[in-house]
Amino acid sequence: MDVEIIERDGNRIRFIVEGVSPAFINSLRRTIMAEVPTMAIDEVVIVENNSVLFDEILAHRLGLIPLTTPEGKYGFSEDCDCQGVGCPKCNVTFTLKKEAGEGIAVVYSGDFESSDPEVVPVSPDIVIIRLVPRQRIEIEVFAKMGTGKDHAKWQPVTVSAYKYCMEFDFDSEKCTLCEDCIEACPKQILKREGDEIVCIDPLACTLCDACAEACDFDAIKINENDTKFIFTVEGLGCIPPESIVRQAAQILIKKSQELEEQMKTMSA
Amino acid sequence: MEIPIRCFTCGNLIADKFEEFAKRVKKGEDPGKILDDLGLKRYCCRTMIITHIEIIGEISRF
Amino acid sequence: MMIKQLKLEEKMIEIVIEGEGHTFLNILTQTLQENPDVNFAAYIIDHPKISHPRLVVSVSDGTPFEAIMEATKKLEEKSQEFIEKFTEAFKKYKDKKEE
Repeated sequence: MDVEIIERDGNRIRFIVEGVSPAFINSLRRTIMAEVPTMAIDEVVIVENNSVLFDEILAHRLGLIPLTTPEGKYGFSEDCDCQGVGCPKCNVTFTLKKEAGEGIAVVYSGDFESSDPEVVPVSPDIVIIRLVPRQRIEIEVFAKMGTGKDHAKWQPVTVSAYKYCMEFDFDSEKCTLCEDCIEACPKQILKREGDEIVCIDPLACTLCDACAEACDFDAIKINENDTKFIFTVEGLGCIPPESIVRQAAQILIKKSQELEEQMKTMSA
Repeated sequence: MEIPIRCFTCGNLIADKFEEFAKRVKKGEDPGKILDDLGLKRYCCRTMIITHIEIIGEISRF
Repeated sequence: MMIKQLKLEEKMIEIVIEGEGHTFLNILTQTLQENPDVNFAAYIIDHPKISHPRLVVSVSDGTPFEAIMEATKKLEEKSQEFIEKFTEAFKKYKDKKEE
């Protein structure tokens, strides 16, 4: 197995994994999307809300706000000592109070007061609601850990995807150097070098096969390598992307250990 | 009404970007360039911002 | 993860793994099939919303428990290897970027 990181920028990471099966990489992708836990607002107590948005819509908007999640600090409230009731060990409380004065007041996610400075909205500029004079909201919300399996608001990523790596197979004996393939490529990654057609950026290839179709002499073949993958993960800012990938693999380990233990007790 | 918190398609956060977008479009900048600046690469998120009409100011009087 | 045994014969087992889905079962059956002692390994989720995956494993040699335990061990090692390689690659990338 070989891993190489191509790009790490903002909330994005791209890497190549070589020497694994499609099943493994797909399990990893699914784990990242559905089982890596993050914090999200789950319960809302509305003390007052006379704005134009209904309580339910307001609560839904609040739930979708991504929150920064310190790794390993909080666990699921079902596994907590409080047995899912909610306590400071598994819940974070936010309070928000805002009233429009003379003009229009915009309620931002930065107006929340969090009980834990490590768990805050990823951006302070998220517009929650606009208030006009005489409108006022006062709410108390509880955030807890959850997984994307239960609700998409707990998903730590927007993009978690992989594609096969491309192998460019060029037959110089069949090629007539008509350069139709170069024109056909939508990504413009083919180039003529002397008497050969070469691919200058194999990672950008989308495996669309347009070059092979454009060639009347079958000089080009695009092969998919199903042991080598380009994996892209784009986080939301809750957890850094490299940590998301690591946590996903750890979840897979935990699951296998659990099954192994169960098998041991069953066979005994 | 109000700008949605996340992109309907991919789940990316967009509610913190609309105000800046609207402000800069009013100044006469090229909308496509602003979206690039804001880091919205996919067309799903871009559509969310471009097609949004803010009417909450009109209805909040009632 | 809760396991219910449905059928147990000398060389065959049928179990229901509650609380899991394609994410884990797909890679598990694939790892099981890599084992030459395993005749048959597959799972089915009868209804996507209300059922739990049912796993059937049949072996020609040894017991099905051993086969599953071997597969989980293999999967564990693979994931561990991935974490190590990934961490190493990330460190390398970071060092290179700082230069």
